[in-house]
Amino acid sequence: MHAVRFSIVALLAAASKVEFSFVRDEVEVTDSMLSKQISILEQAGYIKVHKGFVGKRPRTWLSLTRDGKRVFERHLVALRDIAGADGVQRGLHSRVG
Amino acid sequence: MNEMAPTPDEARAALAKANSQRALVRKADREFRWILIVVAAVYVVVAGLLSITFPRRGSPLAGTVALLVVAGGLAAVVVLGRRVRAYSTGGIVWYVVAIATFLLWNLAVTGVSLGSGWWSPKQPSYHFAISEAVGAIPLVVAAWLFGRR
Repeated sequence: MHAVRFSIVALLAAASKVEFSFVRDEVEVTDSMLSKQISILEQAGYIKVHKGFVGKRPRTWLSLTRDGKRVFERHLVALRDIAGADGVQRGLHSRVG
Repeated sequence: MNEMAPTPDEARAALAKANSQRALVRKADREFRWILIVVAAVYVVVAGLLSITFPRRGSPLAGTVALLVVAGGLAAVVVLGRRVRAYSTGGIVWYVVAIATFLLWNLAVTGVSLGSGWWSPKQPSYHFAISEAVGAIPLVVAAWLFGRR
């Protein structure tokens, strides 16, 4: 998964809802970059965009869809497998070596 | 999301990133504790003000100050609520449970205070403040637990 998209999804996976500016600040990307990545993830059906107002200020909140959560969990399992398999291989090498 | 498989090092880095993102949301949840602290503070201060003038030495000044404290507290809660930029399901559940516990606990404290005669015209007015301070305990505990998340 694209590194920025992974960071965005990982942040949303841990949260119920996250404000756009929070994601931007924590993932350390520009507004336009984040908007672009959000569009891609939204089109894929992985995230939901909620627009609203706090007083007169517009606010955009983001959340992961059920599908997004499922895909991210699968992705994490695959990552653990890769990281774990390497650990097993290293263990074998160290024992053989 | 179908891209080249990452190397084991990349996989470990990605897992570490996922963990750090989770920690960020937990940290963001801590904003709720300030709301709980403000509510507890307003509750105790207003109870203190009322107990000073309660029951027969009514003072319009104390009433006005109490109203100002409540208004200030409400404004602070709104400002603090706007500062919440991310929250987890666990965080919002904790917050709701804290408020519900506070309300139920208060009901119990009020019942015991009245039933035991701790609150009665014959008792000193500071009894009221003490009961209300005890009533605010769930908010203080919840705020402390939020800080430890």
